[in-house]
Amino acid sequence: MGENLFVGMAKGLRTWLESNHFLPIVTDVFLMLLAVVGVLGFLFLNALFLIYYDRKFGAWVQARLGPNRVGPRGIFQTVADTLKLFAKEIFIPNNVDRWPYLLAPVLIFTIPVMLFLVIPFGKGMVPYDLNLGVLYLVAVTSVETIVLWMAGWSSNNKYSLLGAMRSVAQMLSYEMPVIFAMLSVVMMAGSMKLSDIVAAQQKVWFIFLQPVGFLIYFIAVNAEFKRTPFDLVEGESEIISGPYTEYSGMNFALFFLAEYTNFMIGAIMVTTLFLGGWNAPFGWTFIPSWLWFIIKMYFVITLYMWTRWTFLRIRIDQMLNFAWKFLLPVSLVNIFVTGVGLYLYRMIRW
Amino acid sequence: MSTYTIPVGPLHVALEEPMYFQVQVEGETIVGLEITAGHVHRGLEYLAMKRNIYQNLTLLERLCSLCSNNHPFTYCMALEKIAGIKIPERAEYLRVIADEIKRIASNLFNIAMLAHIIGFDSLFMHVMEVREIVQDTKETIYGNRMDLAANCIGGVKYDLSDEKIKYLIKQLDKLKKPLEEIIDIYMNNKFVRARTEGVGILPKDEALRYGVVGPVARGSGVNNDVRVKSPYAAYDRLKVNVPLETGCDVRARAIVRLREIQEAINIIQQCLKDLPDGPTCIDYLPEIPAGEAVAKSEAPRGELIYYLRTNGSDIPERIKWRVPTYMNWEALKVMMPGNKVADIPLIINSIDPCISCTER
Repeated sequence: MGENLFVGMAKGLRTWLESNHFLPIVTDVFLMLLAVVGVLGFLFLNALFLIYYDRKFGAWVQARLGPNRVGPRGIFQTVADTLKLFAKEIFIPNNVDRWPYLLAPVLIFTIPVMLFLVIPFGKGMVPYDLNLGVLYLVAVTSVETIVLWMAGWSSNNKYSLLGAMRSVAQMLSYEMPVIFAMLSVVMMAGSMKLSDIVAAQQKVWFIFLQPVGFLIYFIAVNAEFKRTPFDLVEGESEIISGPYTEYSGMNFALFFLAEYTNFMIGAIMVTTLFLGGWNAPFGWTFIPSWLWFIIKMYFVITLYMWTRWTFLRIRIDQMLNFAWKFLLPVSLVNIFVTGVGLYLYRMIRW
Repeated sequence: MSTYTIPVGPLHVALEEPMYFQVQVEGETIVGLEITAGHVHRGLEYLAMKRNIYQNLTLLERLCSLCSNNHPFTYCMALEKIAGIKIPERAEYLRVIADEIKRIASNLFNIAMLAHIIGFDSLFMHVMEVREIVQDTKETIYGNRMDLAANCIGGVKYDLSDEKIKYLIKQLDKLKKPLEEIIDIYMNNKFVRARTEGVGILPKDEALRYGVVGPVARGSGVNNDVRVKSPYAAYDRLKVNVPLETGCDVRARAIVRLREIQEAINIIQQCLKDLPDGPTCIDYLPEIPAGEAVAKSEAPRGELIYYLRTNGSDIPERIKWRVPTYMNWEALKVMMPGNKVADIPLIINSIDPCISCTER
């Protein structure tokens, strides 16, 4: 019954608009806007909840209570924090490069929104089903580094610059394993369209066919989105807050929220590429597909948080060594093995 | 590649106390270091010369938070040397107990900070939770979590009843198991090792040249523990094993601190076993004649030296102390170069700097 909730709503709205004789273009634009608003709402609400969840999870791991004052069990803590940051003065230091400095926090938030364009949230719930979805994901995620570099360089602060330099080094080295791991999935599915990839996992999820690829992807995405043990870009005890050092008030809050939305995207990508997307396991279709998607997303998020609270921050040279000397060769071998495997499989089949 | 300067401090997230380091950096590699001190100067040395000897006991305890017991302890020893007071034997043991409890708390704090600096906040919380056992013990026995107010001229201000001794033994036993776990993590966890091994190397000859003291020296294989080299209080009757490490790096210093906690537990147990009966303090108000004396003790951070000169009045004519950090921070110039920017706070933390003591 819940399966067609959102799809049905969109369909009903379209028929109603069409029956009222609006211009077709008005109907299309209206529905597109509605989808954007829906995505933004999903993004913001989840990011707000994620910050709370992360703090609570950290508290569980460390045998503390965590936020517990604002609202029942402290659930409104992030809302209160955001409101506080809204009320704060946006302080602009004298020596910053004004335009890039002010543009960076705005741009950083556009990237996750752009990424949501191609994500299949449920059965028939793709904002825009691009046929180069995987390529699009890779391309847009790497743009984030440019924004961080903008923030770091324009801040005119050595800590910021160091953080930005680290983010570039991190992106350059971890982009390769990410792409190769994605490539192995694309080889299996035979398509770059995300909905095709999800459809290809109807029977067996790719995590079982590509366990090595999954591990590489899981680690490399963690590095891409700068979570512990790869949170060197921020490196709280070393370089204050990296590129965010000179930001205050809502500008900082935007960076902070973007960090968590990125984190969410990471989990969504793992879900879509390896955990079967919105496909229900064991044929349990009584739970709607979009709910399965969210459940899987939160499962992956929990895994990432677990990693975060049980590891420490590694050093830049160790991080680069790990990427170039371990992850990259392993992912190359994985691609080779996948190719040979697929070839043999087809030979036997036909 | 050209060099540039990164300022670390005076206020920095990884420093507990204000200290200003100008670090010359080439890319991410450190090439030079300049230290500027003087951000928490409170004029305590002058203040101590305006107070009488009894008031100074309270004042000196507030010099520093983590080694707060050692300052009045050493000050009392200097005064007793001038006045020729022989303190009761029970008091000597009780002084050692207070000192070792503070050592456990101080070393655990430093170890926890190490975990925080390498970004391992769960371990930080765990170590602080274990440290809470020691804090509870301090509160139960001395009525205070930080400043014990244990020492007075001619003895100690507190006594251990049988009930308290039982409690202390129980608490120490409670500490042992988690401590072993923590030592295992710091010694064997791959990630902790990766971050601490080979970082901030201070070779033995450099350690001797800079005259470093305390766990910094012992991490480089130099044994200059005052408790063994020139025993004071009851240490001549106790068996003290000095843990020595030859790694010369941050890890070696951390392990020395952890082993010292185990040794401190051992020492307290020895003390409790052969704690003599008798008074805890002399029963008269001593006259302090004119004279001068030097006393030293082993603080958690290393050798602490007090120089005291009196002129027959109850106000000291000159009082001066040399704290361990003063000897250790110069050695940072040897430890730093060649390491990465990420290791700056780690190396600074490894000498366990106590800026409040050093700048008075």
